[in-house]
Amino acid sequence: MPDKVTCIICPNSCVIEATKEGEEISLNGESCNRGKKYAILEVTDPRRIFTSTVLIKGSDLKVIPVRTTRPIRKNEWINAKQLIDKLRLDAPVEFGKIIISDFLENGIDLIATREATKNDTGNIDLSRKF
Amino acid sequence: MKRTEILDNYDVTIIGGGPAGLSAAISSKVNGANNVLVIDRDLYLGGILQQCIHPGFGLKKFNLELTGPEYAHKFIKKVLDMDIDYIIDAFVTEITKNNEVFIICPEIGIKKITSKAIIFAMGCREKTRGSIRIPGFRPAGIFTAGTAQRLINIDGLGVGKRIVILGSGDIGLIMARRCTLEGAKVEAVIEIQQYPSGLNRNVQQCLTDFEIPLFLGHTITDIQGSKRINKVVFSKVDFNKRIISNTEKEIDCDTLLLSIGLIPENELTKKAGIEIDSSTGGPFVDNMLQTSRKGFFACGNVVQIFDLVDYVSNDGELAGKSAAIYSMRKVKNRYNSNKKVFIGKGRGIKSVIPQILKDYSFLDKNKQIAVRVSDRFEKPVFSLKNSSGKIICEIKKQYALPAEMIHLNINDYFDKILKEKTAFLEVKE
Repeated sequence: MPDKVTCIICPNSCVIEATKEGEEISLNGESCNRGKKYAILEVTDPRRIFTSTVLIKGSDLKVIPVRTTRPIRKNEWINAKQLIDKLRLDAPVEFGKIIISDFLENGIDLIATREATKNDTGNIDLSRKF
Repeated sequence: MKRTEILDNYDVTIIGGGPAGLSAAISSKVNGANNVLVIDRDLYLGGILQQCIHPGFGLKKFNLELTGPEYAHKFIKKVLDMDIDYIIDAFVTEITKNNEVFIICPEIGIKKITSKAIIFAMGCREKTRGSIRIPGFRPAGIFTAGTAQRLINIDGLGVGKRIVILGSGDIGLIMARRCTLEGAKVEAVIEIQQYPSGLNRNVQQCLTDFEIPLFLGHTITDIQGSKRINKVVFSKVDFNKRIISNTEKEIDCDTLLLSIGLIPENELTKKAGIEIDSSTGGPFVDNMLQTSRKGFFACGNVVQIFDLVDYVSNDGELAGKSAAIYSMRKVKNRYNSNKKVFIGKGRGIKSVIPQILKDYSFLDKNKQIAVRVSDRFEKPVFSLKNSSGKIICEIKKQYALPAEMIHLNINDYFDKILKEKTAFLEVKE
């Protein structure tokens, strides 16, 4: 029985049939090379880019968005989230800064996807809107 | 991030600092406008992208898989590098017939500026409970999915512990995953149609990955709870979306998120006396994205709801270029000829953008119309017919779905189409 893989690489969302025969995997329905790579990974070692937010002090922002530099294993997501829940960052944090290097001990880093300046420049309290 | 020293006169003023507005600002400057101003009501530029912390943006435009803030960063950096003026925490209350823009802002009070060209880039807003009239009580704990997204991703707050999501639009799907990761239990996603309205890849990575149940062909028929919502009742619907009695199921919950569609935000546009197309909810535009008033342009989700931000950026580029050329008063020579043609909607067509084609000389060779169909079509044929029913041109596609915008390339037929006064677009299998 082939595994039906919905490709998540781009919005086309191709449905790719992956058939495992021993070590060999044959594909049907992929429309690009990235999809091909994705389908093989999806049936052998499924991974996703992990994104979340981390609390930050001393900035106009309350939280700062973060991501892993490469996809991590699906079953590592909850572990990853628990790790970053304990974090408290101090402003400033520049765009793309490594928050934790070698996150989850797999050679993949966790980086900031937004810049957080110190709040002495604007003196705007984000919370007043709510 | 704030600049309050703004001028009294601008070549191009852009209302909205999201993806459409930022892209339009950069393009205006690149195409020769000297003074460009971006106005945004939020406390930062980037618009809704800043709360879309998930990846999946920029694949078409940059061939990269970026998160929303990263995609926004590329454009914000350019705006800053190019010394484009911007004002945040500022709200436009009115635009007069004399191209005066009234701004209110806590830092500077009320300010009037005049601008040679104005670009509307206000984006869209979410439909609410009132839009689909869900019966039941009116307790706390009912949010639109985008509001919940903002509360979690910008304000660092939680929305609830046991969540039901109505509507399987992309924002709803993304929020199902986000809430799960934040420690909430997403009890169900309920969709009235027989198929998910979001992208399949989002159903996979947001629901299937986390074993969240999706109820297709169901809708909520009752909301219960006195102070906070504590239960929703949902029922099966038939193919005409009519509720089937005695199919009620109940779910205990403390939060309901609504992901039931978006509407272009055009209060300012209407107030400025610009004509709105009822099929898109946005202004009528021509192929330079000019509205029914000269010097007033519109781009992005304020014109129609786009599928991808990449296309919104492209739309902004075109509006920026058009506004810059208009502001430099090169308009006299902007036509190859005075011909113009209205594109009407025929069978199977829900909306067409632009609604008017003109023979602008400065526009790129790459001429497209964006179409939404009202039904599913396998191997559709799109045909443009003139007022007496004669076919001007036919364009074939592999498939057409109501959820996906289709771009029709009309380069080869443009001169032929311009010979008519009106043309009707139709689709059949």
